[in-house]
Amino acid sequence: MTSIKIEGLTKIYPKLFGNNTKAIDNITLSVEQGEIFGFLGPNGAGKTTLLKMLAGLLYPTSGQIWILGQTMHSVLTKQSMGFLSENPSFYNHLTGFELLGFASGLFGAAGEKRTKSIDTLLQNVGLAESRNIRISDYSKGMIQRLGIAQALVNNPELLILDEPLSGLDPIGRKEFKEIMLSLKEEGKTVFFSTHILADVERICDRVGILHKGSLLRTGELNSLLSERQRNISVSFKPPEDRKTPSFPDAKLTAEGYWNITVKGEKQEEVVASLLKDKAHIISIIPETVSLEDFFVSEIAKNET
Amino acid sequence: MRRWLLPVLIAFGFLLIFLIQNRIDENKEQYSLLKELLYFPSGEFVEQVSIGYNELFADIIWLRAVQYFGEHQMTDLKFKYLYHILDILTTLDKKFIHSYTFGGFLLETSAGEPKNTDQLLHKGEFYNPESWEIPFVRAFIYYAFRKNNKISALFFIRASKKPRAPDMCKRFAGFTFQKLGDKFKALSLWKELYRHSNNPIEKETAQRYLKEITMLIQMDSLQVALNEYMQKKGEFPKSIRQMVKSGFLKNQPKPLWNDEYFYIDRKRNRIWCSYLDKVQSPILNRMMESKSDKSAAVYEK
Amino acid sequence: MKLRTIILNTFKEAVRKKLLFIVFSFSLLLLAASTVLVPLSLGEESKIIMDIGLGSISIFGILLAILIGSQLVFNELERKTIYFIISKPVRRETFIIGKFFGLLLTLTVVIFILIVWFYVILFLLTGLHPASLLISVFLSYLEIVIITAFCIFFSTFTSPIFSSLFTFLLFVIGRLAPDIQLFASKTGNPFAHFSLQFVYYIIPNLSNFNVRGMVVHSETVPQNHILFAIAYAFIYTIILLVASSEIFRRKDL
Repeated sequence: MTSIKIEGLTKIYPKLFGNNTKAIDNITLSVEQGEIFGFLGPNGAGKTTLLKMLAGLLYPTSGQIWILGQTMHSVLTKQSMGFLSENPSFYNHLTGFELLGFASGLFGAAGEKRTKSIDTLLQNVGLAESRNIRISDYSKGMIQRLGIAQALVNNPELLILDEPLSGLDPIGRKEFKEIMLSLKEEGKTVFFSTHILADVERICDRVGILHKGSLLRTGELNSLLSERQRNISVSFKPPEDRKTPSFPDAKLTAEGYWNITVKGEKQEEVVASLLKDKAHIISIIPETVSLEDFFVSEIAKNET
Repeated sequence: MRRWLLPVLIAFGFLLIFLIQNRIDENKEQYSLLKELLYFPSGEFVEQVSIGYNELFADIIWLRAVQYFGEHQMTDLKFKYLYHILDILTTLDKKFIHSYTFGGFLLETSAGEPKNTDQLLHKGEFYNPESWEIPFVRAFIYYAFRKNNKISALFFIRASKKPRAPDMCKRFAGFTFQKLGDKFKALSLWKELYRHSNNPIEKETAQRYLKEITMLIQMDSLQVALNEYMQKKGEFPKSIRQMVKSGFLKNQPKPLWNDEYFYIDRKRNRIWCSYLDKVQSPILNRMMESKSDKSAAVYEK
Repeated sequence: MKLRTIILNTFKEAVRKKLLFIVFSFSLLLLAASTVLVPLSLGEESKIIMDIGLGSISIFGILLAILIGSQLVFNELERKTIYFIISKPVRRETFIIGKFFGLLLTLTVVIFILIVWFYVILFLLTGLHPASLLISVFLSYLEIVIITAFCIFFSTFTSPIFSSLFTFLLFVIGRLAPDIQLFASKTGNPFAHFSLQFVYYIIPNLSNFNVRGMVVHSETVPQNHILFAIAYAFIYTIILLVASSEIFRRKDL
């Protein structure tokens, strides 16, 4: 089933003086169950606004949202949802354990079962030792982990996370990605936003690019990147009778072999030519465009 | 919640508030605003507490005093806290002449506490030695309510000696040297008061007294005629009309305000007025008992 | 259940505030200090102590309600702790009502301690422990309930400064309500008369809850009055809570 369905969503902030700000401009998007969807965008693109609307914290100006098949106005919807806000802050006077207890209470859970599951949760996010420490004494990384924990308290079907990896060290980031993958294995859906491109690698089924409130592109990461795939990097050694290859563009690499980058269409021509020369082909590797380049160019296209 | 539901609910809520508040206010006579003043043991204490905003407090208390008086005037005529309030009021604002004069007036007439009247007015003279109004009111009270024309005259004279005292003080000093009970002089006194006063309650009172004295004067002249009839005919006339018919009265007396009328009271054997059957006023009684210049002695038979 | 969670959490949060501690200690001191004034009172010791005691309990309750209440909702919004709650399956109304009762619970505990303290002092100094004082305190408590509701109401849409300012102004006006009615009845101008009467009914008439004068002079408070005062406080508070919930419900966070 579709976990999230957004149609024509727009959010306009009216201003008394001057022009209204259009934070989100007519977004249409679907996220299926079991997907991990990463939402990319530069700062100020509107990612937080969108996520807050999904979480029911902001009201759309127009458009519709369906979460887990239900329209957003239902409190029941939130029963199966977990949310983590950007730079979260929690009641400082509580301990980590108490906060999760509070969260459970808000889901209507109580009693013995609750204590056990909270401890397990704390363990999973790596906060087992900080169980009884006041949140006021938590580091940023610990707060982030606690944030993930409180989003998981109710074992939600859908997770909506705003910059979930911010503040985590590399180990933490790895751990979190593991968590997300294991959630996917359980059939859960994860929808998160980030402005750090590396966050989406390895884990996202699909990504979307948001800029100035508009959804520029969505799609599977690989297919998006492979659109740009044009160049092929051919590594070879020239035939024994020659020291230099016949291609003037070829470059000598440190490892001692030659490399030439050719456009995709010319690939066959070049390989055929090398074979004819009896050159020793070591590898033919398609160069993929880096996500960064892809991202930057999409943004640039939208600016114009 | 539908858009319209919220304002409807709130309006309904305030309707209930309105109803409840009204019920509370109806029951509220018992604990009127002035009860708060009973907190304070005396005027001096209040003065300390009001930290420099004396006159403002005095004003607020004045307003409440007037309301208190008005309420009790309408209901039980019990003014037991009146002096206490006036004491506080005049301590907070010692120069507020009107609170002495009006207050003294009320204490004497409505509350019937002459001792407190004297105390209040004495305090007023002490703090306001140049005021003519205060000795004037004292004189008035001695004349009109206490039937002590000697002391009254003294006060009238004292008043007339103050700077800016009006002529009437001297005039009244003159009047009071005459016998008490001269209703005509009393009449002009009330007329003067009525003309000079800015206070609606004073004016109302003066007006009432004017009516009453005029009635009494009329009664006196009717009584004279009645006595003559008695002397000449040896028996009571059947009615006032008979007195007119037989020539002892020129005209049938016209009905007074509110259709009050004169008649011959068989029990008391004298001219009486329907107003007197309705109203009990000690002052009126005193005025009636007094001898008037023009009325002859009680008929003798 | 969820409501209870929020109420308790609010209570725990409020109790930790330093401000509460300061004002509370001050009020305890003041009550104790009223004993110093006793020699000045010319034989009216019990009246003075009761006077000061009832007055302070009332004033400090109101003060605390205003100071803490005004921060309550606004701080959540500022510090973003509110996302944690509202993103969970909790209705927005529940949040507001939970905050209200949490604050009220805090104030109730404070006032309870103050009353006990007050009675101890009164008893030690004068040997009196009249039950009628409790009626006065109870009505003052109702006054505090209304003020608390106002605090919550204002804090759903303004900053702590304005919210405490407005609440304080309403408190002063509310206590002067009878004077407003007095002005209304004395004015000749029909428009002014109507406007003032209207204002009189709209503002919270806090004089309904002031029976200190009667109690101190050992007069009995009529049962009728107490019942109506309770009804008044109840309805007015509900109006405020309904309005607050609605405002909060429609708010973009």
